[in-house]
Amino acid sequence: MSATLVEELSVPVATDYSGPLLQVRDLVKRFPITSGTIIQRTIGTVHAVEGVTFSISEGETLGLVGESGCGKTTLGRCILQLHKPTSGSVVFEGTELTKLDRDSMQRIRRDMQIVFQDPYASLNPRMTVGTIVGEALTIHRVGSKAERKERVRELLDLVGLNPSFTNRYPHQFSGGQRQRIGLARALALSPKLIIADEPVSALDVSIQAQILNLFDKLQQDLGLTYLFIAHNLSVVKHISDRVAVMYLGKIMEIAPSRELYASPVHPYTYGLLSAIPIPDPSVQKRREHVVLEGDVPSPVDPPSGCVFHPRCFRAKEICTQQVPQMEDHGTGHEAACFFPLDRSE
Amino acid sequence: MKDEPIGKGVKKFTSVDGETFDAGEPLVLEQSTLLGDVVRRYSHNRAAMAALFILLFMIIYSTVGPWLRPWSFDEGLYSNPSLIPYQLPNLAHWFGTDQNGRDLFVRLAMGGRVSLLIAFAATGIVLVIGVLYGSLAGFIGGKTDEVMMRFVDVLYGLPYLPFAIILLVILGAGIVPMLLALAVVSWLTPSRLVRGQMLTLKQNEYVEAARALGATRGRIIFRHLLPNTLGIIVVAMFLEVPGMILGEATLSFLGLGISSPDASWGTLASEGWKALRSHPWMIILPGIFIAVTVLCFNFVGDGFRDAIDPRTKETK
Repeated sequence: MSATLVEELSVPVATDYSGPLLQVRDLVKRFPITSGTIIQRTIGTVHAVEGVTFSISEGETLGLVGESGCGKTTLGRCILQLHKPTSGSVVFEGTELTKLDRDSMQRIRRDMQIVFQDPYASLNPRMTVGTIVGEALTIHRVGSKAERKERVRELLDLVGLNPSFTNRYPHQFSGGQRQRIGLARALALSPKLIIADEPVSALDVSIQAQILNLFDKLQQDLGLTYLFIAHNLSVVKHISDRVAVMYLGKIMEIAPSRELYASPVHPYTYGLLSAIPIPDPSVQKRREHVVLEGDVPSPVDPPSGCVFHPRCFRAKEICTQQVPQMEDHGTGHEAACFFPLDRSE
Repeated sequence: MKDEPIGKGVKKFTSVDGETFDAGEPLVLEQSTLLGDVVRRYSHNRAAMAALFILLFMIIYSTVGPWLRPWSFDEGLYSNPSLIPYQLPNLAHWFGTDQNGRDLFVRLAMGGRVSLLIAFAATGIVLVIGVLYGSLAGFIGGKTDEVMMRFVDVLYGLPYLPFAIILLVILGAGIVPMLLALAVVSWLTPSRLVRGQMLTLKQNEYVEAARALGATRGRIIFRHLLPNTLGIIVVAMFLEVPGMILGEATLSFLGLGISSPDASWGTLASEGWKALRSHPWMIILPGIFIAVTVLCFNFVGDGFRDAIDPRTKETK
């Protein structure tokens, strides 16, 4: 892979910017539920994302975990402005994205891309691999036809596929190979940030490892920054520098990866971690188990106070009445809990 | 085409942990193109192949038929006294002659030209309107979709035949008014089909991927969504044509469409109807032509529907 072509393709940026690559502040996304045909009434609101704040520095990987329906996918889409956030701000390299017009957003799109969960639904079955991977180049009018073709071959090689596959259709590939194609498409314009929306959860465990290693390798080679979304703490363990745990649209705990796994302070994180089986029967038997009871409440009608209180084993009166704020627990470790595990009850 | 293992020539790479990974799961697949697949799968369908050949034969007959015999389609006993009315099929007149002594072989071929042309043209108009309308409604969704589809519902409520008859009475008989009458009420079904497809297809992640890449709405509709409705559009087309042939025949049969001496299959059937008791072949022949053509279009439509959907791809 020639470094020069990638440099040519990337967009020049203001060099004086030194803050984090991506800053998300108080991001809120609510979806109205409507009924009626032509005259529509709003009968409810899905609180998908409720005031999320975090930042990612260049070259870092932030893992974002949470159960299904907790708003992690919506959060990813809001960052890319595929969903218009209800309120809050998304700042990418110093540029506020929520107020950008179409044309300016178009330029930013070259720098932030997404890899999807479903390797089957995310590739258009009527397009050849070459067209899929090269579409970004066509849309942004990069290079001549021959140069684009060459770049597509280069990208396929980069993600570990045979460059001569350009004329094949997605249905001729396996799930893992399709995910590589999706990754090649995201890399076409040499983005800085990649939002990986559960990229391995639809794959077999053996293939998951391959794809995770590919993500790792690409980060080292291309200096990428990842927001890595998953519903499984063990998947993000190795790939993430920091991990954020999300529950019902809110971030419960965010900490450096090692720290979060070793000493979680939020009861929810603790519950999630104790659900990961340890492949050693003696340890597995001895260790303390916390089973999270019940289901995730509906985001249409989230619980009062701390949204986790109905399932929390440390919940007290105050948890049902007041919303806990993010508090510092040392060295970048933050959690939103009145009774964190590093303090006695 | 030669088989070639997909994993061939792929580099191994090493992960951070020092493990070596093979880049792809090796697979042996036959290289195939979409069109190649469609043709191959279609050709395995015997009924559809037979129907296709009969249709081709109909089209060739309609095209060259009038030149095969020495008479013109409107040459009757008034212009050529040697012609005798109501002849049974014989060596000179292969399909016999009608009440004016006109050669039915030539008239049926001319009728085929008119009937098929009207059917194809009307289908074309209907598809363009229906596909554009349906894809806009489906893609934009929400209130726009609601309003657009309620309008379709209202038009659906109109009784087709009286509506077409009134239109033809106002505009007068002829090919263009006939096209209009057929098209006005027939674009509704394809628009509903396409709109339904759009609603499902736009949920696909590849649409979101295209948006993330910065694709415009037009690009998403025409490059991503419409090609995926191609199967349904082709099927709709083949299923629409027989309706058009029948519609044209009905209107002409009622005396509202093509009128003598011009011929269409409907006009010929209408003329034959008047001599049903004494000379039944005059209605049987156009009847057979209409029925066979309609049937064949349905078979070809079904055949294409099965062939065009990659998910029905057989595993060998």
